[in-house]
Amino acid sequence: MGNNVKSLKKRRDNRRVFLLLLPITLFAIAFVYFPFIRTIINAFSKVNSKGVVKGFAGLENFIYTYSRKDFLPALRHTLTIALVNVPLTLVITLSLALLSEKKRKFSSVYETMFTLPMSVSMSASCMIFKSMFSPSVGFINYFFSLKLGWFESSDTALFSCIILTVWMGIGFDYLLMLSALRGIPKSVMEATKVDGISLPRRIFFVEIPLISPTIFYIFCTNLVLCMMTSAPMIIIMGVSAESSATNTLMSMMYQSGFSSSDYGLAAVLSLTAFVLTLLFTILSFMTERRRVHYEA
Amino acid sequence: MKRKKKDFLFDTLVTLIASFLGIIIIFPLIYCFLSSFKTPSEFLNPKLLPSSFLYLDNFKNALERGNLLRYTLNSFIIAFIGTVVRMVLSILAAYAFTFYDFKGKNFFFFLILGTMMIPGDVLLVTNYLTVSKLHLLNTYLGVMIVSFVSASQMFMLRQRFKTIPKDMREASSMDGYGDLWFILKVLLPLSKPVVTTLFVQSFINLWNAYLWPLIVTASSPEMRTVMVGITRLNSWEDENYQLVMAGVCISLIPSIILFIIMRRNMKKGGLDGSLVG
Amino acid sequence: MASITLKNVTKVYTSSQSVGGGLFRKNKEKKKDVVAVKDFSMEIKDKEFVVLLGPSGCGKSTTLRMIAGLEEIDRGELYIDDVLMNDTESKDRDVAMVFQNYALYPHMSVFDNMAFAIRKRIPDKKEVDRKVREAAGILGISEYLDRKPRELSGGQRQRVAIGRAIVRNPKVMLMDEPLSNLDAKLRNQMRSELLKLRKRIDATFVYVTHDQTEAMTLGDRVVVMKDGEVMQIGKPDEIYSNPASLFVATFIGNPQMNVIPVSAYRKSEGFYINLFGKELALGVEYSSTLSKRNESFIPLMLGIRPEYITLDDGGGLFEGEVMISEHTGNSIIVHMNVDGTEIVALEEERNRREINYTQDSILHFSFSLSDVYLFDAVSGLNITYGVGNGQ
Repeated sequence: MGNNVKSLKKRRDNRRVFLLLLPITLFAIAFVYFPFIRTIINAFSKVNSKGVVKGFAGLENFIYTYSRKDFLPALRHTLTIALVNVPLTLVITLSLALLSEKKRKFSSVYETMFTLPMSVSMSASCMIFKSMFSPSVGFINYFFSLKLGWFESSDTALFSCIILTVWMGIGFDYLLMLSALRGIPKSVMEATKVDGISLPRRIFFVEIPLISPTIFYIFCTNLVLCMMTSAPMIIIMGVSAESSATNTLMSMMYQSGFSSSDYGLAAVLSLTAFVLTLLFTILSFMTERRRVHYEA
Repeated sequence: MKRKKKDFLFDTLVTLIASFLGIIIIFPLIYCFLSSFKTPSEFLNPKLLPSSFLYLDNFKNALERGNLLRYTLNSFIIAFIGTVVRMVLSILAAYAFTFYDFKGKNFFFFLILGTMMIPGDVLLVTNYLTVSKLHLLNTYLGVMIVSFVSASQMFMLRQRFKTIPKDMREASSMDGYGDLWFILKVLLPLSKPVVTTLFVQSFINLWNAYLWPLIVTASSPEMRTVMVGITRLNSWEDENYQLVMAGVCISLIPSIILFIIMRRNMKKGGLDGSLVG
Repeated sequence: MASITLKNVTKVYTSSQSVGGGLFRKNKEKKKDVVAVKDFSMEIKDKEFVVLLGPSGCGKSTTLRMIAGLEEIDRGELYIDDVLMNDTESKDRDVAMVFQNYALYPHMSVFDNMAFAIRKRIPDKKEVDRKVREAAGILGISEYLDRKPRELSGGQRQRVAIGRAIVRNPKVMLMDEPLSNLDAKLRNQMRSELLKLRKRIDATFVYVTHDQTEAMTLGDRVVVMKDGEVMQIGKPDEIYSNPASLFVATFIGNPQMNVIPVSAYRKSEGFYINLFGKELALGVEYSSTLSKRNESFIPLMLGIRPEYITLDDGGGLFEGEVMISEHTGNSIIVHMNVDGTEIVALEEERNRREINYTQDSILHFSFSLSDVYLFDAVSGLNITYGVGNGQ
């Protein structure tokens, strides 16, 4: 008797849960997990130009990709962007957040200015920067009396892309830093005042350790974003063999997938970027426990 | 008294420095705005200010010749409907995870959160193949369909729902109200600040999307979104940047307005009075 | 008409600890069965007011939630008006519930909070309006109908929560510690209002509390629970004067009953105990039970309520040294040290005589053996329970 009763209510609940979860699960599988598995399969298969698998290829795609002469530069560019962008963004946003931590009379004005870049889309930012840094008619060369080629010279193109990606990331990361700083309990800050702890000591030994979970979070999300950079290359540089000065793994993937329909190559590049990102993330998580302070 | 004066000087100094840095940060936007009023010949002379703010040809040309009016409409439809569907799916799932106990709860929870681990760019090519197989290329649905799942949104909603006492759900179910009623009449009104913020965030996200709309609408120019459209307003040979800047200004209007609304909204929130103490 | 019958109702929780440890940490799950309610059987008569009383975690709320249909019944049967309810959704049971933290909808006005409860059942808007106003009238909250819960005081919120339940005019009213969030004065006031309210509502009440005063004043019958098991069911005065076990005896009554370990032994005709050096003969009512035991010394617990101890300067049977005395206004509570055992006595202020209650003074005291309870030292059961009064 008891068991029978139990299963009835359980069944009713389960039917409801099923209906509630079905849509999101369906889309998650169809447009995240299925394509992800398909990418893995494509990487190990012969794929024709229509995207149809024509048999097992073993490591052929990998060997072909890694031995291409534009692969190593693309990898190097990707890593350079991550290596420069991530620490730079952290320093800039942390400094801005520390500067504006205290609420002052006009703080909402500059807070808004610091966060505004987050509302600007990728393509809009790219177009603005392309115009602003234009060697001939751009404002930057004119104002600083420079003669740099910026995006149009292979020496400075990657550097220009980094400026652009840092700028795009400032708004959101600043906002996270600021709310973390303001979330520090007031009593802690008052204690440092009473104890007469100097400003630099307070910043480095109290505030930064206390917001380290946020810093770590920003570090990780930025890392992933940087590893996936492709838009500035596609929008500003255009995807062609000549634009190899800034090619990244993902822009190369885009080019091979949509310009040359080489789906095996595209899959290997996607997977490579993904695995590298995952590896970095896991490494960060392993150091996290030693470095990051979580409240008890 | 002396201390007060010192504090005041310090605060003023910081405000000045911060404002200066703020202007540097938003300089690209200022530059964009000012440039959009320049005539083509003015643009060749890289000064900051245009001669007149009454020269509106750039906007007119962008909207008409650049077909930006149509693109804006496309973007609006995609961002709005995409956001609504996304919110509905997230709300239903977050509700199930908060108010029901069932077998495999953890599995499904991590299945959905796991989508955050896989960056969308990695799936670009294979999703394109799927969408083209479904004959959804160059359609609104094709642009929207890949963004229906938002694990972070679902997670934020669940965090909010968890603060609502389970008693409230029980009280309403004893009065004969089902899941849908409870969601519409109690849960959503109580979570208004979070729901609004997520809605706006999601709208901005979809409005600003570039790569995916670019590939899905590649063969049908009139289906492009505004973010794709503005990049087509110039080419390397013909650098009519003033036109592009006008287009960028148009594309930025909704996102900046919504951004300000969102900032306001994030400062509000909370439920009080429903519980004791 | 609404009688409630519970037959061996049992609830088992499978508690799994530490659900989810993070993305990269392993989830450790220990599965353990915890019996929250064990074989709860009772017949609640129509319009009866039954109070479930016990310390926190004793299963009283779980029992209530099973009656409400919020919790599944794992074993056993629940009938309301002789209809099996295990299977019925709570909305179809015709029960209403007042939650401990009220569970008012914070975004709705008082009126809407109450109307929300019946709109689904009563389509006629005017009828809803009439019923809400009637209920509000009974509870004296008519002037607050347009306010939001956060604009009300704790006592007013409490009334709204009760109003939301009575507006439904249910067969069964369930209340889960409804007064526990109020301050002492308001609680006393609401308690007497509940008594009045009860007379105006045709419903069977099941009321959960951990407060013995609420239980004793409100309940027609009180169910004392501990660790998921029913310890005793009875009228309030029965629970007080004839506790089934040491647990019930010490749980009910304030200050707590004095408990002194003693041994009973047979000597010539009857049974005797030795208490603080004095040999006392036990009454005949104990003999029948004690004579079944064959140990020469039977370990017992002797219980005597503080209010049955008589204090005096001299002449009392025992003597003790005053450790502390507490004046509560209408009475005085004296803690004495008697041969290393603490004995508490309560003397009403109006009976107070010229006795020196100050610390370190020596007091004499005595009590009648007929006011004493004897419990088995091992099982804790009252050895005369069910013998004397034929239960």
